[in-house]
Amino acid sequence: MKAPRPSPLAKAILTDVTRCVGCEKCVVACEKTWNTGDTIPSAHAAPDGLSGARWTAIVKIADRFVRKQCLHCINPACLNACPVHAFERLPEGPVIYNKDKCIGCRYCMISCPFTIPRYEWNTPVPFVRKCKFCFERLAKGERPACTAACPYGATIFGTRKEMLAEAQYRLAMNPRRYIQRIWGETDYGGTSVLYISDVPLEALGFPADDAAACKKTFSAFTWPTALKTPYLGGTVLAGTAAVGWIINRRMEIAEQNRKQHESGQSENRDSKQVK
Amino acid sequence: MVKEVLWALAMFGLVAMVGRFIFGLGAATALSDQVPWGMWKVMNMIAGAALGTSGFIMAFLVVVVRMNIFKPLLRPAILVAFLGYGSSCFALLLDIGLPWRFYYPFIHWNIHSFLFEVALCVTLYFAVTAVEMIPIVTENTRWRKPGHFIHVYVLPIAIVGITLSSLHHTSLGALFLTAPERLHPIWYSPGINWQFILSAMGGGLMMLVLVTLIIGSLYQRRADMRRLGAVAALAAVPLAAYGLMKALDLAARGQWPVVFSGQWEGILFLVESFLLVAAPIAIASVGHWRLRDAGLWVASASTVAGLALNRIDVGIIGFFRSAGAVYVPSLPELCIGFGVPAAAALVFMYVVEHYEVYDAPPFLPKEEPKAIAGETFDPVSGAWGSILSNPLHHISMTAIIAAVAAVGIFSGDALKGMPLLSQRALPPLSHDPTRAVLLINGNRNDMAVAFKHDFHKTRLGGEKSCARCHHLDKPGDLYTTCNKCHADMNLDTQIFNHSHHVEKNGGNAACGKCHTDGNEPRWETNARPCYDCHARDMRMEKPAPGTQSDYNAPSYVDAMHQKCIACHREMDLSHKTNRALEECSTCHGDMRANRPQ
Repeated sequence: MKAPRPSPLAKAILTDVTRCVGCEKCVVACEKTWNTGDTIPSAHAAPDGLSGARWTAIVKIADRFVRKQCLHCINPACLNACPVHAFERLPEGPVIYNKDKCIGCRYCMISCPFTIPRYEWNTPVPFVRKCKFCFERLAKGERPACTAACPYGATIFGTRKEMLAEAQYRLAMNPRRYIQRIWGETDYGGTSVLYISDVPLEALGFPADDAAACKKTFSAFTWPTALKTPYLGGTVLAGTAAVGWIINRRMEIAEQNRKQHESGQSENRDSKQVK
Repeated sequence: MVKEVLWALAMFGLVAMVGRFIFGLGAATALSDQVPWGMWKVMNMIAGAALGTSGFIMAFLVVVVRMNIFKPLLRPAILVAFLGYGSSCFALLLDIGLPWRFYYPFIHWNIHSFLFEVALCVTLYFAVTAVEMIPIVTENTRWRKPGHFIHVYVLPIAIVGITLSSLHHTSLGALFLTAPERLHPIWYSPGINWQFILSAMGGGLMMLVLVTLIIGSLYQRRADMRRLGAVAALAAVPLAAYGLMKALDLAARGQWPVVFSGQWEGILFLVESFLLVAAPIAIASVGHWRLRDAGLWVASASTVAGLALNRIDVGIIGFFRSAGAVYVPSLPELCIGFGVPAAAALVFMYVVEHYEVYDAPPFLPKEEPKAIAGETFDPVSGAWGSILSNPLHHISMTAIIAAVAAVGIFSGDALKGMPLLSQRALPPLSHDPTRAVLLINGNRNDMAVAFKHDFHKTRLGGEKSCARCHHLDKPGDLYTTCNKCHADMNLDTQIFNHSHHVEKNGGNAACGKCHTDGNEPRWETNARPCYDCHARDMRMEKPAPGTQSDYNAPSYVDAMHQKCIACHREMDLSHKTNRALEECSTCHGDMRANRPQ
C-alpha cells in the first residue's frame, strides 16, 4: 500500500512550546465547546490529564508547558489497528472516531504511540474518546476551539503547508532558541499537529531523532506482514491439501495393490486347489 | 474434591461476570488508560488460544499425514482446542466494551488490522472445532447422521481448520507490531508473528500432554507413556525453533546486553525462556526422562507456565516501562481469569466422563455408596447426610456458597470508579471548628483561597463524601488540588518558577542571589526584579511583528496585556464583582493623573 500523503486540503495545528504560558484556556475551550463532561478523580485515568472527558491537556515537560492532544497522524496507528474501521481520516486531516462501529477492544489504545485514545471506564456502555480536530467547526470554516482560544498564539491553525513554513521560519529566525526539528513533520509518516520547542518532546511519544520510526509510517510496521497473510494462508491451504491428497492417493493405491495381491493369491490358491 | 474447587471458582467467575455487565469495566477491572489490556485479554484470550493449538497439529498429523500412532490423541486434542478457543472467545466477550457487537468485524472490514484477522479466524476456527466435536458427542445417540457426514468430509474440514489456525496464530503475534516504541525491545520484534506461532505449537502440544496426565491421574487411567513421550519430543521441535529464532532476533537487534543489564524485564525474560524453551527441550531430548511420569509432568507444566508468562509479558508487562504505570489485576478480574478455565475444565471432565474421548469407554466415576443418613426420619441430619455423601448435592452446595461469597469481591469504592489510595492532605490554613469555609493555602504562598467546605460536602453527598476529596490522590502528588475535579481551573500555571531558579542558581545556598537585602521573610517584594537578569527577554516595548524578538517568550508586560487582562475582562463580565484588575490604574498608578480631562 502506498503511504498516504498530506493532501493539499490538509490543515494543521502548530504548537510553539516556547510560547505557551500554561493558562489552559485551550482545555476550557475544548471542554465548553464539546461539553465533554466533568472529570472525576479515578484510578483508571492517566496522570497526564487526558481522559474520556478531557481531549486536550497541558503537561509539563522539562519545566515547559506542552499541550497534549490527538496528533491526527497522516497514517494513523488507530485507523490501521481498529478491526471494524471505526476510525476515519478526513482529507483535511482530522482522524475521527465513529462510535456506532466501535466494539470496545481498545486495540487503538495499545497501538497509538502517543497514547491518545482514552476510554470511558465508569459506564456499562463505554466508548473511546479523543480529540476530533473540531471537524464540525472546520466544515463551518471556523478554527478548532483550542486554537481560537489561545491568547498568546502558542497554538495556531492553518493549512499544513503554511504551518510548516511558519515553523521553519521561526526555527530559522531564532536558531539558538529552538531545537532544529519540527516534531510531527515526518515522525511516523507525519502528523497534522506540529510542535516546535526548545526542549526535546520525546516524552509526548515522538520517536527519538535517530530512531527508525522517525521516518517510517505505521503501515511500514504492519503492512508488509499483513500483505504476506494471504500468501501464508494460501500456502498452508494448498500445502496441506496437497500432502493430504498425495497420502490419501498413495494409501488408496496401497489398498488396491493389497486387494489385488490378496485376490491374486486367492486365485493362485484356487487354481492350486483345482489341481 | 477437584470438582468442588472448580465449581467454586466458576461460581466466583459467574458473579464477577454479572457485576462486570452491570457496573462496567471500570468497577470490575484494574485497567487504566495507561494499561488498557489486562488479564482477560492476554491470559484468557491470547494464552488460551495458544494452548489450544494441539487441535490443528493433531488434525494435521492424524487426518492429513495419517500417523496412526497419534490417533488416540486426536479426540482429546480436538476437545482441548474446542475448550481453549471457547473459553478464549468467552473471555473476549467479557473484555470488549460492547460485547453485543461481537459480530461487527464480519460486517465492517478493515483489512489493515491484524485484530480483524484474529477476530475472523478465531471465530471461524472455533466453529470448525465445534463441527469436529459433533461426531464425538453424537456417535452413540440416534442423531448419528450429521456426525457421519462430518466423518466423510473430515479431510477438507481439517485442512480449513489448519489454515485458519496457522493464520490467526501469526496474527496474534503481529498484533504487537503496531507498538514499536511502546513494547519493551526485548519482546518487540519484526518477526514476533513467527515467534508466536512456533511457541504456540510447542506449548499447545505440551498442554495436550499435561491434560492427558491430569485426566489419567484423576480417573486412575494410566496414560501411554511412549505416545506422550513422542508428543513431547514433537513439541520440542517448534520450541527449539522458537528459542533459536528468539536468540538470533535478540542478537540481530542488539538486545542481548539489555537482557543481562539487570533490568527486571531481562530477568523475567530469562525465567520465561527457561520455562518455555530450556527445561522442556532438555527433558524431551533425553529419552529416559521423556518416558517417565515425572519428566513429562515437569516438562509439560513448565512449558504451559512459560507460554502463559510469555504472553503476559508481551501483552501487559512489556508495556509497563513506556506507560510508566503498573497493572495488578483486580479481584473480579482474577475471579473471571480463573473461573473461565475452571468452567472449561468442568466441561472437559463432563465430556470425558460421558463420551468416548480417550479411545476407551467413558470414564464414569465410581458409584458412591448410598447415603445411610438418608434413611433416618430426622429431616435435618437426613438432609446434611445426603449433602455430604451425594456428590451432586455437595457440589451444588459448594457452588451456592461460593456464589454468595463472591458478591463481596466488588468493593464499594471501585463501583463509584474511585478506588481510594492513601495520601497526605495539607491541613487548611485556619482551623474552623464548623468547617463551613476553609482557607486553603494550596501552594504555600499565603494567598489562601476560601474553600466552601460545607457547600462541597452537601453537593457531593453529605457525611459520607469525605473520601471524594481526602486521601484519594495518586502517589507522587502532594495534595488533592481543586483542579482534580475542576479540571478547567489552572493547575500550576506560574509566571515565576521558583524551584527552577533555585536549582539553576545552586540550591539552598542561592537565596541571597535574588533576595539581596537580607530581610526576613524572603518574599517576592524583597527580591530583585526579573529584568535584572532577564534584561534581554523582558523588553518593555512590543517588538515589531516578524522580527527576531517577536519569537521570544512573552515579556511580563506583554503577557499581562495579551493574556491576563483579556481573561479578567471576561471573568468580570460574568461575575460583576472584583472589577479592580480590569482597571488599568491598578498597575499604572499614574494613569488617572495623566488622563486628559
